[in-house]
Amino acid sequence: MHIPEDLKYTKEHEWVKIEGEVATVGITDFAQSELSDIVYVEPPTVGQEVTQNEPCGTIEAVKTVADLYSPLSGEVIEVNEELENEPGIINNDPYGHGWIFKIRIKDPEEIKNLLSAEDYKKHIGEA
Amino acid sequence: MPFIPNPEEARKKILDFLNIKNIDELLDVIPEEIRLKEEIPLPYALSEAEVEKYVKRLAGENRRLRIFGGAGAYDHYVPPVVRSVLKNPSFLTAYTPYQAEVSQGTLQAMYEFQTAICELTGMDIANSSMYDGASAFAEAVLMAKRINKKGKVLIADNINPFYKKVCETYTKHILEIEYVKYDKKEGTVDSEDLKQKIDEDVSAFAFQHPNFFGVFENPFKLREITKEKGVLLISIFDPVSISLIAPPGEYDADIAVCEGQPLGLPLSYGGPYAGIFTAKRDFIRMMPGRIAGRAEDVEGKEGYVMVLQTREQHIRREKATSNICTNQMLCALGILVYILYMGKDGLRNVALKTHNNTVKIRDALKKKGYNFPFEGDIFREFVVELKEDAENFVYECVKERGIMPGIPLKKFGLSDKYLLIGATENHGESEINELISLF
Repeated sequence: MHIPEDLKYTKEHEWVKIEGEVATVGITDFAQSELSDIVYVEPPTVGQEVTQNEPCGTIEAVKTVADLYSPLSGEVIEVNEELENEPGIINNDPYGHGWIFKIRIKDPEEIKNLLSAEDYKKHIGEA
Repeated sequence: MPFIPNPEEARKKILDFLNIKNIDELLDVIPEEIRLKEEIPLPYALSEAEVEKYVKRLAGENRRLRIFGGAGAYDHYVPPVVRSVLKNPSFLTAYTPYQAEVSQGTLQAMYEFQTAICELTGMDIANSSMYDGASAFAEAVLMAKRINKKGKVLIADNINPFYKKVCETYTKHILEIEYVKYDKKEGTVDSEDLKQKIDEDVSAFAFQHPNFFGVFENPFKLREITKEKGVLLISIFDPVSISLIAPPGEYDADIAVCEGQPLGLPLSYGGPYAGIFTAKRDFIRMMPGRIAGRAEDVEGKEGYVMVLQTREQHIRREKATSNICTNQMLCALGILVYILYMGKDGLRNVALKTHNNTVKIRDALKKKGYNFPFEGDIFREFVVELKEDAENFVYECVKERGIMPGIPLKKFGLSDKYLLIGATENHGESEINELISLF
């Protein structure tokens, strides 16, 4: 299972890449393999205010639908429009082209609540 | 009565596990004073033969009326082929398929029903039916909120009052409803009032066409107004009328619903009926209800499957798109058979004759000096102002002549002299003349 060292994680299996005040969010390799073929993504909308650990969208796979949680609070500034036509990108490249949305971080203090790669490995029982 | 067929041993095990002595202890929370102490006074149980006699006697008390009342359910002719197909036990005994794919015949019927409805309405997608027109409407309003997440819905005040009630019940605590006035002279939506009431919180505007008074709205104009303001348009249409006038797909409705009863289902004291529910393709994941799809198996053979089930409550639990997973499949099948049997020309003829009969009655009453409160053009129904109390008039006609001449509108907050009269293709010339003679 691929778990990049430079990212932060949530217990709900999102990853976060923090660059200044912008956070890019996607779901982990573990999450995509558990869901299997993803057929539809309903991301939050640009301009929407999202809250840490609260659902802000859905990911639909062939047999199930999972909620997408926001790892941090803030305003959504961009969503990955490619996913609209090709949601399967998440399966092929969860940490790269399969990113889902970007937010402007409201409270940097919240970053402390996120998991490190090491913690996340433990969380999914890989360590 | 042994409704719970657990053997004594199993009951004891459960009681021991719960650490209680008997089942009554579970009911301790119900206060003593509200418990029923005496036996419920029911008559003795009847044998099958006795029940049959009893029910036949009750049924014998029914009087066959000639019905000119509509207000949402109409006395159209139902060709015997509909009943004949519905009597096939493979269809008749099947409930909503929970192991759907083993019921290929039912799924195929659902798929073909959806296809027929899409062709008839000009809409992109249809589900495989809802409980009835009113609940389909309420679900349409809830769906609009899911689409744009806005909390207010505008509804034309001249839609069917029963639909208003059902919608209010369904949406209480979920969204706010505001009614848009209608022009008291024409009987149609007051477009100025609509424009004025649209604000940032408004998710959708819903109207009925033809409306509750039988009067045609101007759907193209209403679409223009709502489109300009970024508001969804919900149409309640008449499934018979759309063989003559523009169907909802043509005026670009976002969601369109109706009662399917006029297409091949008998009145039978109010049901069961089936709601028809259609929408634009973009909104398919927000749509309630079941959708059947056509697929191919690994060997390339055609088969039918349930699709988009991930929206439904057996997967999404409390976050489901709706809590409708069932449908009125048997009724929907009746509608499908009716549509296929009548064909394009047949449906058009029904609509034409329905309209002609209605206009004939209206013209005759006009000659007799009656006034009509609304001036707009009508399809299958119209409101007439009587010279007496409409409820008394209806009562007398039913009692003395076996004719139900219409629906009095007093109970909907309108004048006690207003009567809503409707005809169908099923009314013969002599029946129509008899009705006219009552006035």
